[in-house]
Amino acid sequence: MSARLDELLSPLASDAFDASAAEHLLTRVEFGATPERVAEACEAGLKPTVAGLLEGAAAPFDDSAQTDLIALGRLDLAQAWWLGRLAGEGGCSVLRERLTLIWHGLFATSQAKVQDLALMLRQNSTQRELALAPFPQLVRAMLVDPSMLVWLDGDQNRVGRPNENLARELFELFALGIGNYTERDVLEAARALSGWTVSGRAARCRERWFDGAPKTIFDETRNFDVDALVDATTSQPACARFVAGRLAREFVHPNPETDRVEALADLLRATEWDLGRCLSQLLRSEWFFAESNLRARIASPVEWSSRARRQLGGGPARLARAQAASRMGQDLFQPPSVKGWDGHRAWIGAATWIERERAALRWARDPSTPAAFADVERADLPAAVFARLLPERPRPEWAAALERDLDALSRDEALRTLVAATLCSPEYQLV
Amino acid sequence: MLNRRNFIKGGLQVAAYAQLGPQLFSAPSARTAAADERILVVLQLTGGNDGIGTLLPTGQDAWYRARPTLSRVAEGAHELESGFALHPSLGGLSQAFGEGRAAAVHSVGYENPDRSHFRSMEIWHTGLVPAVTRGESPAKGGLGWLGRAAVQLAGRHRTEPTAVHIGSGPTPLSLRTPDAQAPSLSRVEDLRLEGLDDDERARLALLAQARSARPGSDLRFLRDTARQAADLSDRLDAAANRSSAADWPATDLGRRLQLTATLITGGLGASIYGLEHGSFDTHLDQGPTHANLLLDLDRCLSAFHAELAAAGMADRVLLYAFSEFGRRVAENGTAGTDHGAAGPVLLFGPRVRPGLHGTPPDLTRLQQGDLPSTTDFRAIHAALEHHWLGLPLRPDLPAPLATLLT
Repeated sequence: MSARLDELLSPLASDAFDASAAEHLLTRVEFGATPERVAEACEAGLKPTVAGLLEGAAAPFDDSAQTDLIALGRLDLAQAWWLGRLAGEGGCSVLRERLTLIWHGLFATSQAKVQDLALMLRQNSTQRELALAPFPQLVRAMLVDPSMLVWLDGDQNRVGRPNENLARELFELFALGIGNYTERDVLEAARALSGWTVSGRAARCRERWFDGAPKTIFDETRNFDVDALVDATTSQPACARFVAGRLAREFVHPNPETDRVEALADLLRATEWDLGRCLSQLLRSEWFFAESNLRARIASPVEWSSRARRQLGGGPARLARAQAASRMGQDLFQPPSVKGWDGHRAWIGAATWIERERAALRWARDPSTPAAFADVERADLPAAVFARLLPERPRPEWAAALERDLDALSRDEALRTLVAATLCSPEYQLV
Repeated sequence: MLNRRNFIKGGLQVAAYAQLGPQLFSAPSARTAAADERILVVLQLTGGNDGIGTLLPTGQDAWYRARPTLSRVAEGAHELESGFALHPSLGGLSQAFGEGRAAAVHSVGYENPDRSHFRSMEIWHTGLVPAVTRGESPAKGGLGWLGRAAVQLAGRHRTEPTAVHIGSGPTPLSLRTPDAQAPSLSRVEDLRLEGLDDDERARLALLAQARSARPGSDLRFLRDTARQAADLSDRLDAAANRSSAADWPATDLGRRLQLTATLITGGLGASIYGLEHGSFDTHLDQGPTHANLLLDLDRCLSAFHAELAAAGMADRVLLYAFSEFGRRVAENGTAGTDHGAAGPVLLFGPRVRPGLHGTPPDLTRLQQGDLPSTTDFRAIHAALEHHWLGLPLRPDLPAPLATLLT
């Protein structure tokens, strides 16, 4: 590993891992945490906490509930099921689910065209299975994933009748980014991906529909098939950079510095795509905890919803939360396009903002919410609500005016007001 | 006790706006829109509309040769002039051409076309062509062309908001400015916060007060958006309280264009509306999909005209439709078409010089299987900005296409 890399992703000093840092880590990795969980992480220290998060993510999982969901055939129930997992319900690893969501956003496939919940959930399960797998393995699985083949017309691409849809998005959106391939590479890659079909919900390559003639991709001429294409694509220097950029945007900052991304890309290459090791270094780095990266991201609807759930417990039913997330702009299994969700400021518009206010009011009015503050004296309510929902940051400017205004209200009304106001405050959206 | 109305009247709201300066949303003003104020509706045909499957070059043998399957639409097409016809779905548009209310420009695009949906869209949205950006993403720091126009109009008219996005997705890049962005909604109900009393509303408004947030910061952006949403909600209810005079298709586009017409006739006062229709990404079995998309479009345009005409406002509204690229001239192996380059744009409304503009495409002269661009899209945007919206000429853009508007 180069000296430069060590410097750019050097670890945080162990005594710098305070409550504020622990809250940042748990918000980024697990969407949010209770004050008790933050204290626990702080006590344990940074290295064991990160190790614990990664061990959890690598542990076996059980998503067999998919069978029932497929039988029910309702997208909204499948969304609710996943949203529950994303909030860590049933003790599943939030980090594994978070990575699954990252891959869903990257290899964005939509039920709107696929029209087969069984295929969509199969893809979801594959992404969960390969959440921490080497990226080339994930790319290969996605290129022959039945829902992906339907989504990008890969199942129609045959020798002599090429359809370049999947090949183009592989280079542009899934693995390399614009500027790292030519139009000719797209046409030739389409031929390398020819022959695949989906029948009986299974994908297979039919020899007679595969274009077996030589193709020239990235200046190399041979009889590329899907495996050779994945190898050639993921060994492009741009590929590690592309994946590093994605991880940095998801975990660190919506607009990460180029040299840090390059360092993370070096690490991906040096570890032969050992995502667990890379995340371990990233999540313990000084960079990850830098002041300018704290509260630098606008929470997605799923993050917002999961954060409230993890901080308050209870809350509206899963289905109601999933429907709210869809209205806020994150319709799981139905991303707006093959580019996925743009994220950050694109989450916030007039209508989606009002939807966040509505969701905040539902959380505040939910009968379960007072339980989190059952032992709190009336006079201590504002401090308790802020400590739980907006910890480790300066009290927002509006807090004093709001507190004055609470005098005329009953304890229940005051609590509802505080929770609603905090959840839909501009400050709360920044994670 | 705080009350939202008093709160606003108390001047805090206005003071907060004053800090924003002449941005997309200027201070609320009592002045109603003057009758001569013009409105531009920009309709994006998302996904790459097949230009030569819309405006058909029926007079060229090369078209039939390149499209053995898809050229069947020649049957039932609406003849326009000199070897071109409109797709059979476009009967209403054909009538608009006949009545002098519609125009199209052939082969619009830019040099070194990008065949990525997303990159090409960014180029159209910002006007930053590859020759300018040299491979960098135009979305990085680029202003949307309509956002820029909206900022200028806001400074002039002091109405608010100047631009609105009618759609369920995020506000498109074309409508973005560095600090604020055009509000986005697809239904009036989207902005109605039910079941709140005035005190509760006042408290929500309190959260959005901008005091210390740095201009350009995410916190400032969040506060601005929150405040705009609340203010627009009040104004929408007044503007949308108007019944419809036209027969609207029960489609997404129908509902959104109807809302656009309602807000225009109801006096919301915005100068720019952005909408999307699609997806036109017809890689596979294009025939029926494309015919349905165009039929929806055609019916919606007819209803839009009827609605505006009934309100006596048809002379104030110009609709411009574009797509990020046309599709490849030759059909692909799956009765569809892959990503191409130049394609036609459409103008619908008053003061267009009716008929076909620009250089008719010659299907025997292709670049990498695609139609080369013969009219720079920025010349059309410049014409819309200068000749329609009355904004000053921009030295960084090509000269406006002078013949487009009368």
